[in-house]
Amino acid sequence: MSARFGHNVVVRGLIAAACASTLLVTAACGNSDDGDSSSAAGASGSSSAAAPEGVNPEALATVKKNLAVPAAFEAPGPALENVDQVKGKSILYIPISLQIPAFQQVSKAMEEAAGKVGMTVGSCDGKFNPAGVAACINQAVQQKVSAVVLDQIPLGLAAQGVDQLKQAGIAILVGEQEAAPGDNKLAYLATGGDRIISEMADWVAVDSKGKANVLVVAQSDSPQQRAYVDEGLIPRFKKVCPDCKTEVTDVSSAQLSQLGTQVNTLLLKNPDIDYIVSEFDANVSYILQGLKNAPNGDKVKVVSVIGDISSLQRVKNGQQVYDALGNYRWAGWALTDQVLRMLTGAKVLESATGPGRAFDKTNIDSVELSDASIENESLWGGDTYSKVYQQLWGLN
Amino acid sequence: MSTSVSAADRSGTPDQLPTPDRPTPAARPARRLSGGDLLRRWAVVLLWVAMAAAFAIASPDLFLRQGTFNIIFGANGQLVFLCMAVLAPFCVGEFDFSVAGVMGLTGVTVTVLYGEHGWSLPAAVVTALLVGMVAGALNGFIVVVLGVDPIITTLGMATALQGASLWASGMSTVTGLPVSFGNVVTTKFLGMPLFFWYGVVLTLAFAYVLHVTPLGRHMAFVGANREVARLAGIRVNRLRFGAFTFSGTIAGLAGVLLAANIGGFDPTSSGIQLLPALAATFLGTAILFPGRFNPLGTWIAVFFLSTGIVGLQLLGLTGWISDVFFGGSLVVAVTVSTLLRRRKTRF
Repeated sequence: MSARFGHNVVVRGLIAAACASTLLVTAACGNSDDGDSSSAAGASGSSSAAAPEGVNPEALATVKKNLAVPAAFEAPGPALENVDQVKGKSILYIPISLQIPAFQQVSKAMEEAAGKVGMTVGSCDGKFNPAGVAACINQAVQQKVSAVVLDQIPLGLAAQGVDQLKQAGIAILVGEQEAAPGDNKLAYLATGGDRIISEMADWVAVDSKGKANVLVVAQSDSPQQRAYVDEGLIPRFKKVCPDCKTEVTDVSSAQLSQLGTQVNTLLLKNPDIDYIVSEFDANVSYILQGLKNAPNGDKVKVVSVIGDISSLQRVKNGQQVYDALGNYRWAGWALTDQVLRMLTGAKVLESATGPGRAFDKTNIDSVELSDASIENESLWGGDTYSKVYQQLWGLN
Repeated sequence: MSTSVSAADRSGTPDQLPTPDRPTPAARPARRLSGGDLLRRWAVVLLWVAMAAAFAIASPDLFLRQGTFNIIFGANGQLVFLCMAVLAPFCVGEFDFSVAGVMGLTGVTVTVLYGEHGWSLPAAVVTALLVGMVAGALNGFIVVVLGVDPIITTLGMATALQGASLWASGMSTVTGLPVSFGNVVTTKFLGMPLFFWYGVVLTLAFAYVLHVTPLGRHMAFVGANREVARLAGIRVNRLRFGAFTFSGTIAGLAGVLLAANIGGFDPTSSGIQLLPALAATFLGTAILFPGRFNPLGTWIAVFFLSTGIVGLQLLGLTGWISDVFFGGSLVVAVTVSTLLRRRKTRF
């Protein structure tokens, strides 16, 4: 009983963390400065060119950019040569869990992208644990694949497996981790993950006109999650909203059932709090549940990121005031591009930026909130990247 | 293989076993209670008062506020329902660990049917409740008719229901219930949300049935000794099946009300509600009717635990301390109750 309970909690936390990080990477910049003016009006209706009093101009510009339809995708690096040499080779995609739809979409996109150059892509479920990852790595060695993509799997979780892969001459791409230099045998691909979290500060700065009392709900299941707050969000607040007051409260996946009362008591202790900024959207339902019984719960604005269609529906009906989300299909194409760079001997990238977009009350009505909006990518203004990648790969 | 909860095993005192003609201790005509009796019945309540006093002394500005009272009593609506759902099978000597899974499935069902399939709200609610009732009845069929172990059955059912919830929701949070539906639970009455009062009504009704009516006496008898109850003419299997069905229905209702409360449902969130529900239910056996699962004791236990958690959070203690408090208070309370009961038996 308790074991099952514990398993559920851990899985829940890992799903939250993994989804979050995956979406993080796909929600990097690339937004248009001259996008739809009605949706780029920015928070608080601040549509004038000059920043209103108390609003940091940089924050206002960032908010406008994030709310706008993303600009057309630009090539992340130089074109590749000799791509035809990879024809017939195979990739094994190993995400931390294939139970998460986001990773399924990435896998599907990789199959689509790699198929354009005659490669095949298999996938193996990391099952949220080192044993599952190790089994997948063994599978890669047995199948003699050309490259392995470890998605949301820290190298420390697969240290021995990485050695196995190196000895077998299999190229390793570590996706969704911090930017780091790589080579054709071991490379990384960072896509500005912390940016989407830290730029919540910009929206709050604009919406509050630089005078917010913010409760930050930080996920504390891993040092990286906490770093997104300590090294990204809080410094960003200090920069774009120096008069804003921030208070950070930690929540771990094992403590989610207490998050509602945790938020309640903090609001009781500090009734001036008027914004709750949740590092990950997965925790918002617990926060909303808590706000129902908080003394000033109806006056608190909930801001979060890494959402999905249901999160945007919350923005539409006013339960949440801001959310941002990225594009999984683009992530699959970006990972495939990096693998091709590794296999063709080209210089590998350290990072890539793809379509991401934020939503608040000013632009939420400009999009249709349905799964089809994600599938046809209308949330981000359509697919502007796959042709760019194909051109980079020498395909028509 | 079969597993059951026996009141006789728990109490160790055959004289406490009820019979159809001899009501449960709770239903017996009032008799003089010794100081020891009173102490063991009210020990946790006294501890609750002492704990609240300690928090009030440690943090008078924060703890002695209307807002704190609202948080303690107003934020546990679904937990009270889940506890009552868990309690029914316990009372007849069975287990049901699928209640949180049922709650999750019905919360998702009502939201998806209304928000994504365009059903009318009443139809979505009724269907969700039927789903909960059917899930409970299925548990009852497998355990009572097929004779499968209830722990295995309900744990398996919990996992299956969670999977069904994820499938129905597309593995993401579902939203879209109208705000007006939320008024069903959030509207304040005497300063507390209706969700709280629904829990009070359910607890009192359950307590009345269990302690006053023949049905309740029969349930206690079945829970104490199934075979003897059967020989006494009680329709044991019908009661066991009914307890599971009731459990599923109440858990389903909890899911619907929780979905109304937040306007949607996160299918992965229900699982973490099981342990608090079990903790409160077991802690309830140390309150008012020591050694027996009882609704009033369970209700008190819910808010005893909530008081502790909120008080600690007001003192700035969050995180691991909550788990320590949950588990520690459960062990301490039940241990004290057991020792007091043993002492009474000896003397």
